[in-house]
Amino acid sequence: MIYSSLIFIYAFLPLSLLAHKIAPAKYKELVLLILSLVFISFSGLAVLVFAIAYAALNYSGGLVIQRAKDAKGLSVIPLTAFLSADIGIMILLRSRILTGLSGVIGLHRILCPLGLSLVTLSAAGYLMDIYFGRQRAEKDMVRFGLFILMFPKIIMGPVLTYNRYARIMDKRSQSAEALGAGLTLFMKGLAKKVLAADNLYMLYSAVNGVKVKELTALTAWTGAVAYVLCLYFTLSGFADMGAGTARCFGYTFPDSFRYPLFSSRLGYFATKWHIQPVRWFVRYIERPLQKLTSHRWLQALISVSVCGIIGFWYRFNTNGLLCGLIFGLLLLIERFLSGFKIMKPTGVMYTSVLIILLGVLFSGNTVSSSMRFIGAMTGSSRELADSLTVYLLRSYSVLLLIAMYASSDLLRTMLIRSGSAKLRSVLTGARPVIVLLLLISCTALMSYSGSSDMILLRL
Amino acid sequence: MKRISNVITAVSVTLFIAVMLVLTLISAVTGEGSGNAKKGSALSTVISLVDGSIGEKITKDFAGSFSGRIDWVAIDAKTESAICENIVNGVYIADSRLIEADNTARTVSGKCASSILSYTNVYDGAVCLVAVPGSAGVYSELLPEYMDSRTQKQLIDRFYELLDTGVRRIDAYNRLKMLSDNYVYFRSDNKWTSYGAYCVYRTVIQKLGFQPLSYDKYSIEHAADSYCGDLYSRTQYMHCSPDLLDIYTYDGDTEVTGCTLRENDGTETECPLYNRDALRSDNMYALYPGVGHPMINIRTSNGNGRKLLVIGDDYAASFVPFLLQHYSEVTVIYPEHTTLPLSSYTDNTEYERTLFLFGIDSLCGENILEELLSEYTKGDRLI
Repeated sequence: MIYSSLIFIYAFLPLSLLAHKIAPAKYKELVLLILSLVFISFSGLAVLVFAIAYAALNYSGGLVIQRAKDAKGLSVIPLTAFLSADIGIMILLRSRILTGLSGVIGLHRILCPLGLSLVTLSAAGYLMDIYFGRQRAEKDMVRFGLFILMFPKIIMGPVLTYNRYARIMDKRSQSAEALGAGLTLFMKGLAKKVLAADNLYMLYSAVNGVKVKELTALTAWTGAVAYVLCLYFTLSGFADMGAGTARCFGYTFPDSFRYPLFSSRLGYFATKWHIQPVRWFVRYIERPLQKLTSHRWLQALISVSVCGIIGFWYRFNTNGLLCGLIFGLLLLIERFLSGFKIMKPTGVMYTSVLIILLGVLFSGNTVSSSMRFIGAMTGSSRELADSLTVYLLRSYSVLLLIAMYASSDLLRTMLIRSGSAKLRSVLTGARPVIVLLLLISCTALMSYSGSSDMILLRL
Repeated sequence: MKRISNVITAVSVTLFIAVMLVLTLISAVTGEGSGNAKKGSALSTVISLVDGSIGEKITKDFAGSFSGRIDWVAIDAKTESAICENIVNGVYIADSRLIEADNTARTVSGKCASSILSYTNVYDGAVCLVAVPGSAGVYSELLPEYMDSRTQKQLIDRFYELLDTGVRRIDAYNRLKMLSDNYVYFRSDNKWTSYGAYCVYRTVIQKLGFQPLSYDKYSIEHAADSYCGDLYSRTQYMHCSPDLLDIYTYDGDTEVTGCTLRENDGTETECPLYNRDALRSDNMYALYPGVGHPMINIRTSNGNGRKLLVIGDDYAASFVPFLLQHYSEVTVIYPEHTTLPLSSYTDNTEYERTLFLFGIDSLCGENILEELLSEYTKGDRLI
């Protein structure tokens, strides 16, 4: 089951909220855990058993590391063992090693549970925090189970440190106001996915279906822009739906995306894109490694390498790795040239162009196919535009313009700068109607298939 | 203000969701299930529980019972058309018709061809094959140019190449393409009309050794003028005119003397050639012989003693009535609904010929003949 499905919105979510609401306060977390297991079971009993075993592994891992640490023993050994298990499982399931096995054991397929990559980061971070003494191992199985399996965060995070997660759980405030805020955020995410990402994916698929040598430059650029926007709306849409659901239950999760597209610097983009996973890599890999050396060039090399690891973590292929490395290198160059002042529109332009080019590299399955596509974007293969370009722009220009506007923070900035309390009041007052209209539109768009599936990436 | 707005949002959205949930539950309880769906074995049920395909089925069933689904799909079509291309749920809305818009690069797997070849090697009679293009193949010029217009033609050619020995391959594509200005395909469905079937019949029957019957000798009855096919149900596009379901009756000596439907459990029931009750159901296309059943046996007053075995899909259903003037018995098997090997339904040695008649989409997907022809494929190599 995923958030963007009729069964989740019209059956699972309301019934879950009802069950959670009527449960006595001390059993609310247990109820949420049971609901999370039901949610996971829709992906199959194999995934459910795996999820429970995975949570149990990390729960016992935390206790073993804690015991070794308290006994002043070699806690690094259990840490290494459990981290290897976590990372090994992720590599095994995300790579194609097990694809051939599915036929042998008679299953139609072997699923990589949706959200495994994010859960792995949470679990690994938890174990390392215990090892470094930042926190003690959790003894409450229910609370720890929720840390790993809680359904509002299992698909698209956020990746939280255990301390922060515990603070969020302690500060639960369930009210009609929180429910309204949660539903608003959920519908915003749903609209991002169903109205924007799915239709942008059609545009991207249309361009991607044309042979590269037949692509004109403008068509290729249109496809690349569609891909980047689609990726952003898919990831941030699921993140918003998850955070919105959590809010309905009274838990406030931090933002995962803060309008990263149209940033005026790559550095700003990096701080606004998929914030928690990126911070995780900085906190648990980049900083500890950089502390080991005082050489600036070596520290720079570590930063670039970590960007490469992030890219690889997303795609699990050479393109992802290369995309991350180039992004890291560009970040380094930008920092080096930070003394040069540029106007904001120029900055937005150069950042956008680089992000789109990196998006092409990121999207490809091989480096050579991406390079051929970038070649088409330079107009090397054919003329600037043709009838296909006209058709696609005529069909999708409204969507592209709305998507670009929605992915920027122009509306928020406009509201802040206008300082008009009246305008804000009007927008706030219209919110219930807008939310209901979004729900109706998204329901209509999902009415035939019943769901709007995860596209482009399975993290 | 913000607080009040959030509370109003909570109340209005919760109410809307609750009302829809109740209406959907009522719709699910009162709705009729699909009686003809293949029932899986206990093992396949366990597998679907383990690998999660049952979760997908529940999700789809919920969507199927969703209250006011038809109206929702209509809103979907309007919304999609307003914000992007005229493609709704994989259907392209052209000015005059609805067309399947499948942009995925499909290939011929060869497994179906392998099954047919294995069958041909063992079978004593002659084997003929007609691979029929869908409306997307014949009206490809109406689709956006990025959708490969030659795909269906290429798929048929490739499939025929795989059957270069022993199987008589009959061209339907060029005939239908040549007549595409006529009413050869439904506007609201991917399938051919009875007239489209008749046009191809003229070619096929000559290959089977008969002279085709003249169009003038048929009396045509418009059994229904409100047929809305699968493409319509996926879009609910109001501006697409409903289609005609025609019954062609030949004014000759040969008459249908009996029809028998056979189910997977072996039960047999007598039935009329055309199931007119279907015109009052959701699946009006079941008007044609045997649609929705594993097998239909049709006997005629023709005394030539010649028997034909047809293995096909929905395309075969509207095609078979044209064959009846030439044979004393025609048996049609629909692999989509069979669960047993061919010998469980009929003895194929009684038939002088076997005609495979499928839409090319059926032949390119997973091997729909695998189970039916399993007796003939054992030990044979796959292509």
